[in-house]
Amino acid sequence: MATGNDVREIFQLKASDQVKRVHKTERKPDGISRELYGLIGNNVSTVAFNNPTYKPKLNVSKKAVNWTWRPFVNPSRDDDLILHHWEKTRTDPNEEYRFYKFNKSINLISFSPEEYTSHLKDPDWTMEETSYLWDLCRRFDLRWVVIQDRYEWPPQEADRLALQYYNGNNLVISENGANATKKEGEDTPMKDATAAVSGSGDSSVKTTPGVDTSTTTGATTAATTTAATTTASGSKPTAATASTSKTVANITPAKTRSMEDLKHRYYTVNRILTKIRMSDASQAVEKAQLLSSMAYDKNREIERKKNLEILNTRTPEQIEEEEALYLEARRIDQNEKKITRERENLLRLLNTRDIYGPGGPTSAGLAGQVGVAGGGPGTGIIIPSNSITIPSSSSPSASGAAGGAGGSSHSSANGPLSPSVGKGGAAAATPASAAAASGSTPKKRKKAPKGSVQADDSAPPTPTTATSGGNALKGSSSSNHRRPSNASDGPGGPSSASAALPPPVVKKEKLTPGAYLRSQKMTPIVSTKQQRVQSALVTLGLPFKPAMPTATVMAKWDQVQSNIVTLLDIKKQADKLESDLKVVKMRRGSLGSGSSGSSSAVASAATGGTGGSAGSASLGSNADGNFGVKREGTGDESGTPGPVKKKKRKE
Amino acid sequence: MTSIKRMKGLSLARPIIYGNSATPLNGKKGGDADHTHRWTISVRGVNNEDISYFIRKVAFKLHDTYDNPNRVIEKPPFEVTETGWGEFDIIIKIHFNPISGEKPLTLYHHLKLHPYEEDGLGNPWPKQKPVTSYSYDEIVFNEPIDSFYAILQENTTSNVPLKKTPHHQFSLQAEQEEVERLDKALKTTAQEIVRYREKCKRLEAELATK
Repeated sequence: MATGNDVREIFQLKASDQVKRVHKTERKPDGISRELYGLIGNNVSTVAFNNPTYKPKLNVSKKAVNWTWRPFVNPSRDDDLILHHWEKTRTDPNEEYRFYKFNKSINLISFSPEEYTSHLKDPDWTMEETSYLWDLCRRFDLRWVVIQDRYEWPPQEADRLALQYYNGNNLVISENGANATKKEGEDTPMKDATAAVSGSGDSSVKTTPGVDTSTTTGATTAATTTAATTTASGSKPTAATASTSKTVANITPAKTRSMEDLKHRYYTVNRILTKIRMSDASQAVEKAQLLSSMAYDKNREIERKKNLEILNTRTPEQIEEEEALYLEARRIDQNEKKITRERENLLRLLNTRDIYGPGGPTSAGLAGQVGVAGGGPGTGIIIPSNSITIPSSSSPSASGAAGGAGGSSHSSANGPLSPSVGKGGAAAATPASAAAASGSTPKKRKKAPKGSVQADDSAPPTPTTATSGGNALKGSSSSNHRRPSNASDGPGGPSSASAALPPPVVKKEKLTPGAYLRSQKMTPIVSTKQQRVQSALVTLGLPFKPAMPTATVMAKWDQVQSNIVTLLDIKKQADKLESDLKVVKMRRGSLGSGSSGSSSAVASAATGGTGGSAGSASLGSNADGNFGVKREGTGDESGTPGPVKKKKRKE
Repeated sequence: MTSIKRMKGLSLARPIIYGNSATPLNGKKGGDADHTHRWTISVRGVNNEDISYFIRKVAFKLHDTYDNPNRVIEKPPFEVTETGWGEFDIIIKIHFNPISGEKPLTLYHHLKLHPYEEDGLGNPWPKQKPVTSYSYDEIVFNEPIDSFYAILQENTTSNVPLKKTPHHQFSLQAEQEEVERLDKALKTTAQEIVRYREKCKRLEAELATK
């Protein structure tokens, strides 16, 4: 082995005074053996090899095996090559070559030209190209990646042999009989090549007419088709053939075929062939199975691969973004349920909508045409409603669970809660109903007498008479156990209870599941107004509740009640205006006249006009009845009643 | 609960008549001051039709001075007959067919034993004529469960009788009359509203000018 010195000598280099590389090892510490230190100390070697101190016991019982030099044949080969190898003598010499079983190949369905011309024609594919594809598939065992990579059609100039090969395999008989490159059954390339080359000119290639005639039928059609295809694909004159040649595989720029194209063609041909060959009914099942295995959708595949590509080429930022979005969406979904639950709870507490219906007290009765589908009191009245929107559809189930079939335990549980809620609700109802009214539409009010308003809060209005007392009790208890189901009511609830929520989708009728008595579902009247409403009813000659509460009757009843309420409100307003007007007139009158006495007398007793005759200029404007000094006839009506009353009391 | 399917958007009603009728007992038959009347409180369908297909049982809660004040009647006729002297409120709880999945409905009825001063014809109430107090009402099932709905459909109620007769106080005619009354009231109120609105407008205009 050449050492450094030798090399230097060869190259005639000066021996440089090199630093002697000293392999400085650490000194082995004292106390432990060298071997041990080598295993556990500082300079532990990475590979610890185990030098067995023993050798395996020599097995002397086995006898020596005889091996013989034997010839063998590999059936995978298609020639008759005979090779030799060593084999144990004992094995059977006729045993199949052990690697033969691995010589598997795909069994392709192949088509005949007749089949091709009758079934498999495709505008985009020539028979030649198709057979080329078939050949590739066979050679590469249907490994599409390789096939697609190797695919070169039409074969380029460089591959002249392939060119002739493929040309030779076709039955191309030109119409003129000019250049026939037909080699049916003759697929030895050599022969074709020579034939093609020599047959460049004219009919010299028309070698075996006999062969031709045997396949004339197919041939002619093949010829025509190929003729067509050749013209279609543009004639590609081979170097050898003349311009009039009708050979197929001329040199043109190779058509690029995508893998999907190839696969599509392959599977299409296979499907068609399967269909043709298995037209027998008894093979239906098998056929179906086969066909299903050959289902190939080109467009879908293209899409799928595109998508995969996109998926594959996501940047890390994109991936993270997607993950984050997904998590967000999940979170939102979960929270959605929580939010709706909280919403319903809120409604149950607030419950303002229930009391007054969607539109508030005044609109509660504007039910007008409630969709009563005919029928008198005796018939079961079915009231179809529009389709229920999603929020409401979820809540009836919730409310159904809450109030519907829950059983009496529910009602008792809600019993203690509801009365107070009801009362609080009633009180809050008036201001809230104004807010509710803004958010609702007339259509929803329609439903008011039906089922939506069920908190019959005639309970809070103190029952005075026996009948109304009965009603009140009825109302409260039934409303109590109806309340939870209604509170979680769908569209109406969320909308009105909290103004922040968006206005609901209008539903013609809002139904809450549950059973109730019709007479108990009257829209409640505020307790303060109840008295006056009742007296109004008396004036109109109506009982305090209808005698025969059928659907129509109740609808009209609600209308009447609302009308009465409206009427009372308007009356009140009118009265107020009147009194205001009077006061203003009074003051104006006194201002105008300047004479205190008359005007003060006119001003009526309310002013307590004793000595309006104060007369002094400073008080002139206030001459009518000792108004507060500060009120210098400002004509400020709102303040009028107050001081007047005060003055009256003082005097 | 989610497995129960309700017929969304549907509403069915069944009319019932409930109330009591009372006859005075003449003193002889063990009638003492405590049992001056025999009365019967009942819940039935109009025309006495069968309502047991949707009512499973009716529980009448009588006054505590009665033994067993909770009388539960589980098959038709859903009524309780008793003797007594006083008028009180009876709590009627109607339990529906369990298929309906509805909670029991509570109604109240004031037991009426003593007649008004006059009957409809202006004569003082004859002594032995039974005193009745019945109310008509309709039980509305909103969004019934579909199996219950099927049951309800099978048993359509008979119609309320057309005319008012001495026996049938609730009839279509009565309903019609009520409707007419209500309509009249509606018209009146509407008119009044219009009138007052006008007045308001006028007054406001006046005020504005002042």
